[in-house]
Amino acid sequence: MEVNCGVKATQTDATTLLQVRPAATMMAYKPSRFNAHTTTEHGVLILYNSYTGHTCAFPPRTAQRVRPLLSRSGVGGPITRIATYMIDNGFLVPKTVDEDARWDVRYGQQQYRTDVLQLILLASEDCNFRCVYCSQEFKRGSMLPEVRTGIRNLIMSRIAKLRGLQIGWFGGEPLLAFDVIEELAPFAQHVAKDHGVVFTSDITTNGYLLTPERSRKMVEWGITAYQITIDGTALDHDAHRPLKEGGPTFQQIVDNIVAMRRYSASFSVHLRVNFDRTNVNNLLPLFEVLKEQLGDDPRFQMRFRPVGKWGGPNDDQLSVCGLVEANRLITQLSDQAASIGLRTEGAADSVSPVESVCYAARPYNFVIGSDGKLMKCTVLLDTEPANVVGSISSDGKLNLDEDAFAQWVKPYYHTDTMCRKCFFVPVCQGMLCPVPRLLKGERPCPPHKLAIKDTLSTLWKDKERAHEGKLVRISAG
Amino acid sequence: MSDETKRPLDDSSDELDIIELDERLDMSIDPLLIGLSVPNDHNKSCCNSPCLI
Repeated sequence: MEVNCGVKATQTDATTLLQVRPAATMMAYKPSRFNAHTTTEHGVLILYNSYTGHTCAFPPRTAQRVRPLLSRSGVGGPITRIATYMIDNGFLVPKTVDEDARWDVRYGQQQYRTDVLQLILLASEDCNFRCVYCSQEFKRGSMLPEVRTGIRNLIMSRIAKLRGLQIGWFGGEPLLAFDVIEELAPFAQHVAKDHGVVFTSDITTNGYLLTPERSRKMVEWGITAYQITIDGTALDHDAHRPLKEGGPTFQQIVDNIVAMRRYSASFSVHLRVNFDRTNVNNLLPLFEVLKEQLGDDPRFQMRFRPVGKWGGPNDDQLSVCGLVEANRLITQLSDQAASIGLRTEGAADSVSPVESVCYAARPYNFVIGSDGKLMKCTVLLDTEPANVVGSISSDGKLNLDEDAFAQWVKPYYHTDTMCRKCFFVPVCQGMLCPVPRLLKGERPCPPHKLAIKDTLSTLWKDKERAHEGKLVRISAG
Repeated sequence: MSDETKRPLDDSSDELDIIELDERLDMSIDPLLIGLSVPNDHNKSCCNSPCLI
């Protein structure tokens, strides 16, 4: 935003003293249409802007000065110091600004970029587990040699035009095909490095085959973000996530995770808990085990997701929670885990402008099956014909069905009038999940947006608990 | 401009506290339309989905 109000910031420890010289302007301002706010029981005003992603807490005395500025009638005349702060942080915008036009440009630059390639590779479509809630069919094993060749050629053909290359490993269980990862991961890392391209890589694994030798190698190959699921202590976890041939998996996974803690390398592990009514009340002992094993290591963070009925053979037996209930439980579980000292995925993640659009909605993101199918969604895979948008050839060419592809990546918010006027559109872009759009013609509204006041209150509690946040003091001087 | 929009506040004698709750991202628009440097990090499903299917 091109507003210069003469702000001079001096930082001293955690406090920033802003010496604000009011601008002698008569320009009129209005609250940004992307604002949302709530007030806590202690009178703290939490103000959030979905376009900038900025969130501030105003203690009661400051809040008294801020509330009038949030009036739809706007503010004009001599611009006060607190108004200057609000302008500089995007909470107030000039009355003449067309914020929707601003957002359309931002959307275009995010959506249609050609300097990024994101590939989610199904190293193996088989799995050594048979989780009770899984919807996958395990029709194929390791990625075929010609598909691996195609991926290498695709990367080589695109690398000169890229600024970012992201490789995600998924399955099935990707570590069943460790040879595929061993062939492609260091290759992609080296090619990216040779061309000055930012390389990031992640893996979603059940963790059973993540031996210390393998995890050490994978971190060296730049696979630095891990998602590993643990559904409780041994009793619940082993009932939810047994081996294919039956048998426990909990202890092996915990041993592998604890081994990772011994590395000094930089990586992150999201420990995901899939909860339903059978395990949701039994998770405290798991948190205590993890706290004992992982201590305060910031590389490990908890993530909670509800079990759903996604088309697996056991759907009728699953004891799932409803959407509203599930969101309440996510908050409760996060509070419970945090109260004993575990790090958790916070509410801040759900309102960040870069977190809430599904990768499947991006034109630069493809799932590549072990047989070379090009897909978009990692849940549907090839069980839904609309999800198969083409194939990759061994020469690296992407043979796209452009019409099928377009259904995943088109800007639905343009024609959805509710999305078009929603304050949250810069975050979810109407595409938190494209599947309801494609298959049911339904709008995928994010639960954390529908309950934005609760989300902001939770965000504030998270920050208070973690003693995070930077105190800014606006000086009268 | 209506009278209602002219509401200067007298905050000249106070210090006002604000707590910023995030590390601000550089979300400025790139004139070359080459996009954000921040990767999309929507987490993938692990045998069960984060999505709204």
